[in-house]
Order: sequence, then C-alpha cells, then structure tokens
Amino acid sequence: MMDAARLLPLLGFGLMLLPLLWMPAGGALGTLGAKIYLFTLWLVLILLAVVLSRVLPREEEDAGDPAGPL
Amino acid sequence: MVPFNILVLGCLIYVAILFLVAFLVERRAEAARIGWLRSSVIYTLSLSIYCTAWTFYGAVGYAVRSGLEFMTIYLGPTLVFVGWWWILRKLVRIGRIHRVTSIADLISARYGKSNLLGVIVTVLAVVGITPYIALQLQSVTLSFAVFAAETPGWAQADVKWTALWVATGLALFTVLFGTRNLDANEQHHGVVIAIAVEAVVKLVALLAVGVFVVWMVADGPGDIARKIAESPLSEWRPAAGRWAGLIFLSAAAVLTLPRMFQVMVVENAEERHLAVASWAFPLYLFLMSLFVIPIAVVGLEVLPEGTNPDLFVLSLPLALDQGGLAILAFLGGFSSATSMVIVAAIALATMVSNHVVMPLWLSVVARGGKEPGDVRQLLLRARRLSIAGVLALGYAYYRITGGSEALAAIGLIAFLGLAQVLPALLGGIFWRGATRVGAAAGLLVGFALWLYTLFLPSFGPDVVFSARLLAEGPWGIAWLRPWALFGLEGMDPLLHAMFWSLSLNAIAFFGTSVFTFPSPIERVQGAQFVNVFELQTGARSWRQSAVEAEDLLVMAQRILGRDAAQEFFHAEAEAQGKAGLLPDTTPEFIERLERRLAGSVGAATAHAMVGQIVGGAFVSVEDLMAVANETAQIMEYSSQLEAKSEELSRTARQLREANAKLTDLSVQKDAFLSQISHELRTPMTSIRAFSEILRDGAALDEESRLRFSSIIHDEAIRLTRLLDDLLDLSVLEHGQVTLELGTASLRSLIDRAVMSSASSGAGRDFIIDRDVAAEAIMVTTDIGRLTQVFINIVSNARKYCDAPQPRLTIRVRERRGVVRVDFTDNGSGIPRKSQGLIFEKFARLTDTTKAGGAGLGLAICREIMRNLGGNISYVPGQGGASFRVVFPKVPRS
Repeated sequence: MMDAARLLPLLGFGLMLLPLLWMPAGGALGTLGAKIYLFTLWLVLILLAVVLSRVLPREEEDAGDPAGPL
Repeated sequence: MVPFNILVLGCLIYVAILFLVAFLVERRAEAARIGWLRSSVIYTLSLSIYCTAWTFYGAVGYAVRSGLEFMTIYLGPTLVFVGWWWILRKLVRIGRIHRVTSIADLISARYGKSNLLGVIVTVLAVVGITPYIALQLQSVTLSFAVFAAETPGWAQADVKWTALWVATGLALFTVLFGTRNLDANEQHHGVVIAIAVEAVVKLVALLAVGVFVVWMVADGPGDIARKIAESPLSEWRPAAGRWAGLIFLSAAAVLTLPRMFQVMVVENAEERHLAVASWAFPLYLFLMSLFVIPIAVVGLEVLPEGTNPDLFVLSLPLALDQGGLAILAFLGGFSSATSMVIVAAIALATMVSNHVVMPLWLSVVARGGKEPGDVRQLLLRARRLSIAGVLALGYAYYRITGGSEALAAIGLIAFLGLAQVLPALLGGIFWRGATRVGAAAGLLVGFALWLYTLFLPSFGPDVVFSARLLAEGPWGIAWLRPWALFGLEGMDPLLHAMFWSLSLNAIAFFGTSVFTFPSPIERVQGAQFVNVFELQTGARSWRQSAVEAEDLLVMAQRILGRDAAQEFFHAEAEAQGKAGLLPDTTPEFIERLERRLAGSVGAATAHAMVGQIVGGAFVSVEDLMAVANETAQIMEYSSQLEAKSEELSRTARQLREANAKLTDLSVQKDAFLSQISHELRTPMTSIRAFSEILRDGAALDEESRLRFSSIIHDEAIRLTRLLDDLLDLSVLEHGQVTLELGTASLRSLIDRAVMSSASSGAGRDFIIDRDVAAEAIMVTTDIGRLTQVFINIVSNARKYCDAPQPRLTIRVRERRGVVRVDFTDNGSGIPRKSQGLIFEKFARLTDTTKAGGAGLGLAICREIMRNLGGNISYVPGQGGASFRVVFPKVPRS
C-alpha cells in the first residue's frame, strides 16, 4: 500500500499529461471535453487519496514498533 | 448598485470580526482550551492561503487568456498532497522533531546549522515574495476601484490610498497576533483561525458567484456547456511544455513558498491532520476551480468588451445588479489577499529576525564582550519591525511598479524564485551525501539565473536592463541574452528561465556535494533528517560537560521567558528523577534544550548560544559510527540498550540523591540534638540562675526583683514559643490540622505580611516592589496560615538580603485557577549546595545568633503550603534569593 502511495502522484502526473497526446498536430482540443476529463481525473485522485489516508496510518501502526518500518 | 460607503463599512465590519475571532482564540489558547480549534478541518482550511487574490480573481482572467492552463496552478499542489506519504509527511515530522521555524531554518539546520544558508534563503524569499505582496495590495485596490467607479463623489485618487490603509491594517493585525509569543514552536493560534475563517469566506464567495452564473444567468450545466462550445474559449491549444512545466512548478512552489511552509509544517498541530488534508485540500482546490471556466465564458458574453477579465468575478454580479453577491465576492478577494499577506509577513519576519538580526546582534555582543541581555524582547521587537518592514517594502514596490504588466505576471515569477530551494530541500531530506557547500552553490546559481533570466527582465525594457541588453546580450554577446541563454532561442521566457535555473541549480548542488566533504555536525544532522522515521533518539552533538544547569537556565529564561523556561527545566529534572528546577546537564538534556530554543530563534542561533555556554560542540566517534551504521538490528539493539541504561542511570541518580539527602539529614539531626539542647538550655540556665537569686537574696530591692522576674518571664516565653513551633510542625506534618477557610484579597494578605515583618531587620532601608494591580485576586484559603507563610518569607528577606540597597520584588500571577506568588530579593541568593536543604527542619545557613530562631520557619511554611494544597519552592537563577508560593485559588475538594 505504501508503494501505491508513492505511485499515485506519478500516475496522476502521467494522466494529466494525457490530453497532450490526443491533440492532433497543430490542432486544438475541445475545452469542454478536456475540462470534463481533467475534473473527473481530479475527483478520482481525491477519492484514492481518501482511501490511502484511511489505510496508511493504520498500516504503519500494524507494522508494530514505534520506530516505524525500515 | 452598491454605494461605495456601504462597501467600505462592510469591509471594516469584516475586519473587526477577524480581529475579534483572533483575539478570542488567543484568549482560549492561553487557557489551553483549544481542542477543536486545532482540528484537521482548520489545518486544511489554513492551507488555503495557497489561493491568493492572484488565484481568486486572476484564475478567470488566466482562463480567458489561455483556456484550461489555469488548472496547472491547482493540479501541481494536488499531486504533492495526494503523494503526502512521500515528501510532506517527512517534512512535517522533521519540522516537529527539530522544531523548525521556517524554510530557511530547515535548510540551515539540515546543513550543519549553517547560518549562511539561512541568510541566502531569507534573501531569496524576501526578493521573491515582496512583489507578490505588492500584487495582493494591487488586487485589493483594483477591486475597490471597480466599486468606486460607479459611485460618484469618490475620486480614483482616494482609492489610491486604499493600498496604504490595507498595508497598515495588515501590519497591525500581523504584529498583534503574529508576535504574541516566541515559544510554543512558533504557532499562532489566532492567526490560523482567522485565515481559516477567510478560507471559508473565499470558497463560499467563489461558489456563490459560480452558482449564480450557472443557474441564474445561464440555464444550468447544459446551457453552460452550449455557451462554452460557442464561446471564444471553445478550443484549447495547450502548449505541451508550459502544461507540464507549470504543473511541476506549482508542485515545487507549494513545498517551498515560505507561507505554505509556515501553515503546512510550522503550524501543524498533529501529524494525522496531514492525512486528512491529503484529500481535503485537493478537494478545496477542486471546488475553487470548478466554476472558473463558466464565469469566464459568461463574463465574455455578458460584459462589455474591454472589461478587465481579471475582475470578472466582481464585475459580473455588479453588472447584473446583484449588490449583495458583489460584496460577497469582494470580501472573498479581500480575504484571499489579506490572509496571504499576513502569513507571508509572519514567515518572512521570522526568517529575517532569526537569520539576519539575531546573528548580527550576537556577533556585536560577542565583540563587545557583554552579557546578552533580554533576548526575548529584542527578538520580538525585531520581528515586529521586520513585519512592518516587509509590508512597507511590498507597499513601496506597489507604488513604484503599480498597475504595470510586471506585477500581474509576478505570481509565477515568485513561484520560480522560491522553487530554487527545491534541490537543496529534497536533497537534504532524501540524500545523506548532500553538503552545505553543495547547497550553497546550488542556491546561489539558481538565484542568480532566476534574477538574470526572469525577475529583472520582467520589469520590461529600459527599467533595470536596457532594451539593448535584452535584445543583444551584455556587450553584444548573443549567447548571454537573458531570454535566450546559451543560444536557447524561441522558448517561452518562463520555461526558459525554469529550465536553466533549476537544471543548473540541481547540477551545481549535486556536483559540488559529491566533491565536498561534510563536517561531523553536518553528517549527524543529515542522518537525522534523512532517517527521521528510524532514528528517533539519534546522535548528539554535545559532550558531558561541567556546565552548571543554572547558567543554562539563565540563558533559556532570556529567550523563552521565565515561565516557559522554568516549566521546561522542571519537566526535564522530573524526567531525570530529580526534584526542583535544575536537571543534570547530560548531553541529551542539552540537545533537547537546544531544540527547544531552536523553536524560537532557529537552529543556527540556538546552536551558537548553547555553544557559548557549554563550550563547543563535539561529535564523538561512537556517534558518527551510529550514524554510519544503521542496520535494523543494530539500531534496535542499541536503542534497547539505551533505554535500559537510561533507566539504570535514572535509578542511580535517584539513589544518589536520596543518599545525599539522608546523609545530610543525619548530620542535621545530630546538629539538631545539640542545637535543641542548646536552645533549651540557654533559657533554662538563666531561669535557674535568676530564680535562685530571687530565692536566696532577701536583700534585693524592688527594682532588681522586678527586673529579674521579667527576665525569667521572657525566657519562659522563648521556651514556650520554641515548643509551640515544634508542636505546630508536628501537627502540620501529620496532617491533623483543620483549616479555617476564609476569603480575602491577596493584596490585603501581602499588606499584612509586609507590615508584620517590618520589625525584623529594622533600621535598614528596605524597598518592596509590588504590582498592586495584579494582586487584586480574591482567594479562598486559610488566610491566617497563608499570611504566616508570607510573613516568614518577607522577614527572611529583610534579615538575610545582603545587598547594599536591599529590594524585594513581589509578583503575583494567576493561571488556570492556580495562584503563584514570587518573592525575589537582590541579595547573593542561596548557594547551590544548600538549596535542597533550606526547607528541612533546623536548617540554618548562617550562624544561630543572627537568625534568632530555631530554623523551623521554612519547614513550617512548607508544611502549611502542603496542607493548603500548594507548595513553596526555591527558584534558582533569578539574581537573588527567590521563593515561589503556589496554591489553588479555591481549595480543591
């Protein structure tokens, strides 16, 4: 799960760059479509963060010793 | 139509409410009743100072000019917060453990507590943020102007002064609530709550305008979608470089902006708040940007051509005659600007006072060979002046460049300036090999390139750089052109500057770090920062030394203030298993003290000040080995050993102390026996002698008989008093005493004590310094007994204070139902070795003749206070003998 936490921002950054790939050379994107895509992506990231914020602290506690995982 | 006067009035009321909120919260914080006030919700809301007026108003203008590109400013921070486990959690943990006061302090502490780095980051921050503050002042002025333009009678000239009023008001607020305390890890509860309120206002304002636009002006989302498709914004041509670059830049900025660091790390109350903020803050940003495109599209459609798109949020409701909504939007923008300025000013003032003023002052003092005086007052004054200075600088900047293009673009320019800290920051917390020289090299290279390629040219041709220099390069050298460095032409200026400054910064940082060698203290700090989750106790940089805890206490009091320093020393002494205020000066204790001080004055200064007293830092070979050698088992094993030996040494310390006390007591007991026989014998002898004379000498005249019998009487009284005292003490000690509770004002008690003790040590000029106003406290307790204690202390001071001009200071303080009275004289005090004994029975420091008592006074006082549910103690390090009497205002059942 901790690896997922580290991966999430990278995944998010990659997906944010995705619209650049759809764009035809020299062309333009529809603002509406791009906006819907980006805001949906945003919401998904927030939801994943909600899950992580619940799971991670518990996982650290389970790891036992107060020094935390090495 | 909104009359301008009403707007000004509304604005003033809003400001008054903010002052009130901050004031009430500070009051509660003093009483330590702030539970819910430091919740994760408040933490998340305080983070919203990321959204300044530049984003509140400017996002719509940005959308009109470049479509969806405005989102990059919000997407970057989203990535950082979603990935909190990686960087933010570590930053917050480091900040808490090392009591970091600012981002400059973090960098300085990580690289061997180097003040040079602190100064570099401070200068960088002041240069980058001052224009940003000017931008906020401009936005408030512009939004005022929008209203003023529609109200006849208000000339635009009046509006010009708005910026000055706003800057003055903000300086006042920030000084009032931002410099109340130095301690408590630099947290400002009142300020945090005020900006949380402002966060709600700006979110509600923007959402209200958005809802109004979508459902009142247009016919819901479907209609808006149609409008978008028909508007000039229907097509978006993202520039690939800018899209990715700006997301990266805003992610870097959210980590390195001084104000973000302040609320994110310094003001963080609990680490788990970060977990909530990891999704709640991105959600806040999401909501802030949800309606930006609809507002932009509708604004373009409804408003006349030539309206400044940066003010659509305000002019749209005004144009559609929605006065209330316009005022709300105005307050939203006002909130965004003010909260940013307040926190930025606090953060910058902390940096300036800790990294520039304090080191300068310390070196001046060291050169003059003087003792440092009250550092706390000096620091608070420096901080207040710095706040005023930062705002004055922002205002001056606004007046000089006001309204120009340069100011509007400053947001991203400031982002890039502060992003120069990123390599040193990330390198510092993830890479042990990063060195001080490397960090300095990277910062300086990045700073210089940022100035040259972006900041200075941004003023436009012929302001700082001549048009010719911009076009042809200095001395005609084409590859040095600020906008096309090393022949990299045709790039967006911001991306161009970002590419060169950050990449060369990182190369200089890594390259220099690899080829330089860190000093021992850098290694220790580096390991503690990089392995912050594993190395909790860590290596220490002080050796066991012969330094007196009292000297450290005197210094700590100057910085933390008396109460906080004494509380800290007391807790430390207790943890070592000792009573009183003076713990053993173990390396661990000195290390913790240094960290505590660092929470007020920054790591570098704290280190220097402790070093002055302790005499030089020292890193042992074992410490370095512990740093170098950190496999899990060894750490585990050594930490267990350490815990055990800690336990052992604590027990040993307790035993030693108990033993010493027992030995002293036994000596005292012997002394007492001879003492008491002497005390009883002297009067007995004279009683016997004189009664024999009376019995045998029939020829005595009347006068002699009278004289002799009165001597017998006096001596009998003395005997009775001694026996009374002994009896009294024994009753008190066994807790058989019944208290006669009554209510009286503390002032009358002290009055009585001062009067009653006037007879002892009479004939000397004795000054009593009281704070009569603070003494007006009604207390319910055994009045007679308490007065007895006061009388004892005051007459002791009269008897023993050996100053040429004796003076007794009496200070009263009440906190959470506990009254504290300090009696401090200006004599030579009680020597360290005797401090533990003075409250024991028959303890007397000077010879008997002078005291004229049996040495029971303080022992009785101690027992009385114990019976009253309080205590009496000796407070070392106050420049004289100092006794503290503590008791509950109302007896606890």
